[in-house]
Amino acid sequence: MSKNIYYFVILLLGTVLINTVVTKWLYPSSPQSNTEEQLDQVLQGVKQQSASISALESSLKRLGTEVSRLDSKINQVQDKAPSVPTSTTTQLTAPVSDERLTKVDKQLADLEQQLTALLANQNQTQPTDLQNVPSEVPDPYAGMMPEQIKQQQELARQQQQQLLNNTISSTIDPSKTSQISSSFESYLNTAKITGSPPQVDCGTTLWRFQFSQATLLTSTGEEVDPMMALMESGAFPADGTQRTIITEKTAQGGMDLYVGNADDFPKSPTQ
Amino acid sequence: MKKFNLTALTAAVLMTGSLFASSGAMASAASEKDGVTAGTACKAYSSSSEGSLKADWSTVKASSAVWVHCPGAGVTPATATNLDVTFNLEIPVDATTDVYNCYVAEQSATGSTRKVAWKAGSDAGPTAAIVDTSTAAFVGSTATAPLTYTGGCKLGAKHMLHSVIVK
Repeated sequence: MSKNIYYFVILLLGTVLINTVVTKWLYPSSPQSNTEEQLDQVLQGVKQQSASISALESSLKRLGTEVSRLDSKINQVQDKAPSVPTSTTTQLTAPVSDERLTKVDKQLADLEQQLTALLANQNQTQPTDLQNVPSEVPDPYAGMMPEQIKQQQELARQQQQQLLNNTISSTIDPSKTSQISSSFESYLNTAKITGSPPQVDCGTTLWRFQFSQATLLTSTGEEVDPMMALMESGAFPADGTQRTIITEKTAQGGMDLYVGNADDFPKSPTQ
Repeated sequence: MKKFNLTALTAAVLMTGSLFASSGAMASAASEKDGVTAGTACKAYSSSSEGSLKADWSTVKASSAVWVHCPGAGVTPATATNLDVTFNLEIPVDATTDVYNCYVAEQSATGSTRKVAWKAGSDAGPTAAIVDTSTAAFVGSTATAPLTYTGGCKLGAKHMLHSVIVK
């Protein structure tokens, strides 16, 4: 019995020994040790990723803080925007000079004058053709009452007529007078326009035609405007020069025409 | 908010572009007006001359010598003294005359006083007769209001008046 136990123990020890030797031969390193190392490596990686995630979290928090700060700034700017003074309000709060007020008053008076003229003319306007143009010049009668304007215009008309007559008288040119007069009369004869020929007086740059009647007549009885007859007569060369014509009906039923080159025509007294 | 801001900015840019386009068109319309169109022939000088005018939708053509007068609707004393009125004519080479007469007139209601800016010249083919009312001779109203304005040309036989442009 004790021998059997002895063999059993010896066999058991031998088996263990052989098992150990075989195991050592087959697996030089311990699998448990490898697993632990791998686990250590995995654990290390997890720790690194955790650190990265923490860093990302931190960055996100900082970004969130920055966005909140920017939003706050934008809100502040938007809240302040309506209260920022504009250039217009700055001008309005600045003291306005008397000169500027006078100019504004003048502009308002001009506008009122134009409105009055528009209202006066609205019944006579017709569609198409020479349309309104925004360009404007100062109105010499701005701010005046209609009656005052009429008086001023009549005075200006008389002054201009006087100026025209004086200019012609002081620069009278008999040779030009003869030339223009014969040329115009020739046209009247050719066109068979009847009526008394006009009295013609030519200055250096200005011509005057005085008709005893405000209209001329053709051979068929049609009325002819002296101004139109003069324009198409050829009495003045068709050289592309722009001219000015002023016509005035006289108290005696006649018509006076003043013709001159636009650049040489005397200025209106109202200018 | 950022999306809203971007949307608002885009809308503002688009609207600004539209406004510029509109103002450009308005400025063009305000500064230039083509007059003798839409079949409206201007009044002829005398009753016997009216029959010699042939008007289509863009041109007035004369078959014999005739004055054409165009009413200056909307022209006021404030604007009339600073106009460039262009009469776009065509004078064929086989026309009996190459002379044109064009004018812009200011007249008092009674017709007792008139002031005329008048240009006469000779040409052939397409011709632009430009009458300028900003000259010293025309500026300064001496006629009693209300005033009316007329522009026109003497058309010889075969002459054509394509348009009257006021600037």
